[in-house]
Amino acid sequence: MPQLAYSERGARARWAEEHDLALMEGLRDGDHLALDELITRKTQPLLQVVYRILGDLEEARDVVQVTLLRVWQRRCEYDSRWQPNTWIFRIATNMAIDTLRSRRSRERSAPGVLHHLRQAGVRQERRDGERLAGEEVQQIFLELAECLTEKQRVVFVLREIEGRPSHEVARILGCRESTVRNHLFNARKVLRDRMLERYPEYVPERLRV
Amino acid sequence: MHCTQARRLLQQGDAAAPGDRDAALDHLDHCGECAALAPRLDPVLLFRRLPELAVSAREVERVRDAVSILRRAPADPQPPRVAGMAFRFAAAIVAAAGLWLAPGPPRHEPRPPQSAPEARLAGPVPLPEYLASVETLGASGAYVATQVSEDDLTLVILANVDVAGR
Repeated sequence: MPQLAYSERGARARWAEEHDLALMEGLRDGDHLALDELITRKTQPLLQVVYRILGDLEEARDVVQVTLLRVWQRRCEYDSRWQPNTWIFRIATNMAIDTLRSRRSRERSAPGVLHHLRQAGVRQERRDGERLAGEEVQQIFLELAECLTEKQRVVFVLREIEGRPSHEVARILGCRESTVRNHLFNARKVLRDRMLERYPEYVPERLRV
Repeated sequence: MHCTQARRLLQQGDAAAPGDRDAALDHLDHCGECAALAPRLDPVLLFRRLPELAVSAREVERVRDAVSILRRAPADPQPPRVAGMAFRFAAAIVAAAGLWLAPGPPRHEPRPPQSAPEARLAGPVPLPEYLASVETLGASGAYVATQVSEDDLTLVILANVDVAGR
């Protein structure tokens, strides 16, 4: 009985068992099945982080798609001394920062109207009532995070929400750990102040004074 | 780290040393009781564990398709690039040669003084027959006119070329 020299299903199954570093090597060899497996693994974590940075799911989808395309296009530049995740998230967060900057620059032309619309959206979300507390907290975060700078926002999402270690956040952003701590300190201060201003019910009484 | 110690560090907020705070945050990952209490110690910890974003298999498939399409799309044609430095160098040489070879500064012959432009006001615009002039408005050349044949009074301001009053 003739045997198949190459089975796509078999190759996919093999990639599914490999670790990220092996996938990156497969990518470097131009194996599109390795890219497919990488997309399967990274879409959720990338989409989650980028959504929390941008606060807009549609924009986040676009950024994730282009990020994965860039990963493919720059596969030969990948240095195996980097953790694959760090390298991929570096591309994604840079793109998210660019998107955030260009959006903010667009919004500067009509800040009042956009702010009003966003607030109205948030209020509508809250009126929907039967939402889980976690989702409400997420909406509050997305609203308050508007007050952060791009870098503060990325650092806060990666470090405080995603729980990534400071040294990894520093590598993703291409800066020192002390800079990460500085951004985090400022982000936390801004968020605490804004919470006190807009959502005092979430602030402990001893801090309200 | 004990719960008491972690809570004390979290309550200190940014006053705690970064390493200590990290250790206290790690403690939250393993202690549900402290994790539930954390936002009361530091309100920003409310955002520490936001719900995971649910991504369906269909969503992943969409991303895979989109990347596949983008991957196969031809790259944008780049405009032909002139080697920047060489081009600038050549342009500088041409400009310098031009300045060196050019005759001296152009001599400006004194022009005869130009006569003042003739007044363009050629007088009032002639009125059609069905209109009669009622009043001239100063030196502007404008008129107030009325219809001759109808009862309805129509005021029309007829301006000539220049109503600025020259």
